[in-house]
Amino acid sequence: MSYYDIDAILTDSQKVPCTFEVDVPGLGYLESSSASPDIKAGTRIQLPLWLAEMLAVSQRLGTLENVISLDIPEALAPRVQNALKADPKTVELRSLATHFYGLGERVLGLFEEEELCDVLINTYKQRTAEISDLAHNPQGALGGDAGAFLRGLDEEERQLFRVAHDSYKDMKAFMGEKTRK
Amino acid sequence: MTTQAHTGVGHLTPFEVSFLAENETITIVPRQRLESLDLIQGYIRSFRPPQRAEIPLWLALVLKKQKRCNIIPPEWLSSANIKSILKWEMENPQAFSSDLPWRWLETAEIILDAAADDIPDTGMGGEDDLRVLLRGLREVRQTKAREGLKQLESSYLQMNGLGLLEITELRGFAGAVVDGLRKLGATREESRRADEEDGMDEDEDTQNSTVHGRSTTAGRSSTVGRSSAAVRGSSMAAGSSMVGDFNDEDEF
Repeated sequence: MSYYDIDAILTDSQKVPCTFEVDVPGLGYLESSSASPDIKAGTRIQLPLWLAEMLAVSQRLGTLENVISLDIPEALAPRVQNALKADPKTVELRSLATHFYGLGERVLGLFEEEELCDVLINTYKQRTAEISDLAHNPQGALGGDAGAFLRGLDEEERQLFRVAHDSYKDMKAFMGEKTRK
Repeated sequence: MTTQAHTGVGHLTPFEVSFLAENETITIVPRQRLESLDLIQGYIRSFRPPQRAEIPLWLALVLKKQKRCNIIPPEWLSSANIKSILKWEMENPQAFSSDLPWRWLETAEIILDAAADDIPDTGMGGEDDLRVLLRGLREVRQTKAREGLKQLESSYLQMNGLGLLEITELRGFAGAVVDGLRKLGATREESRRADEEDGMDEDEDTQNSTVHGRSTTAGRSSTVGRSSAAVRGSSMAAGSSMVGDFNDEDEF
């Protein structure tokens, strides 16, 4: 992951729900619906991960008050966790978040969520096994359920699919060239 | 034919692996006399047919192409042997046979490709044909390897007995999956490690606190001390998560 890694940047810019704990003068423009120039304590707002993370761990000078409090993002809500527990392969991760695992990883760093950690790891394992099978069987991957599954892959899974399919293709090229002569 | 251009980073392609396999030695029966060759890699003695000679595979391929030698297939590359290994592989769905050499797949491909006429048991078709057996063997092992991948953990994967080309095929995917699992489990790992360290420091901590309790008499000063410690603690936590990010970046 380099400084210019586009996926890291996109992961950072995913939104998480936050609640402001204090009044902040001059930040009213963050909330598009309000006319006032200031942000009031108790305002709920979606902030990008990079900003929310910094604000959540920082404190107002001299006090123990947090500036904002974070909530678990929609993509990792209990509803989604239950769906993932039931069957990881039918959930369209891409429609929840384009960088689903990246988001999950960051949220795990901010919250103590043992269960979420288990759910994510289990989901990842089951889905990668499916991805590897589909990458070796391009015909089967095109239609029906498999096609729907592949469209629902998040960005990291897409890259995995590409890697697996490339190695399959390289191998086929090698074996094919040797046997065709 | 398009192969992925090799950019100098990343993994070996199957073609590169088979190129490397051409440096293995192989036995040949020369058909002509040939003077000795003094190569950088080693000295190749003069050929005196029908004496057998051991030479690198790449040289054998050149000579074979010019019809100056016959290649003697290695001992393991016979249909009887491959058949028994295949049988063993079918009977043991959890393990890979250790009777195959490290570069079995690529070597077999190269030899069958260049010198099929020197190998008995090929070209007649049927289930005893060496090519058919090799393909069967490869498929059985591939299925096992894929089953093995489903048990990937964030820390390690053990599959003994895989050949180099088979590893090459799996490497990209397996590496990426392990990395993904490591990232998801990173926080848990971190807290586990912190717990371990706490466990070790516990004795010192209790000592310190008793000393502290005795020395502080004024209640007020002790609360100030505690709150400042809490602030330091949380800012340190923020700092350590930043450090964690940094480490992640370093590894790529």
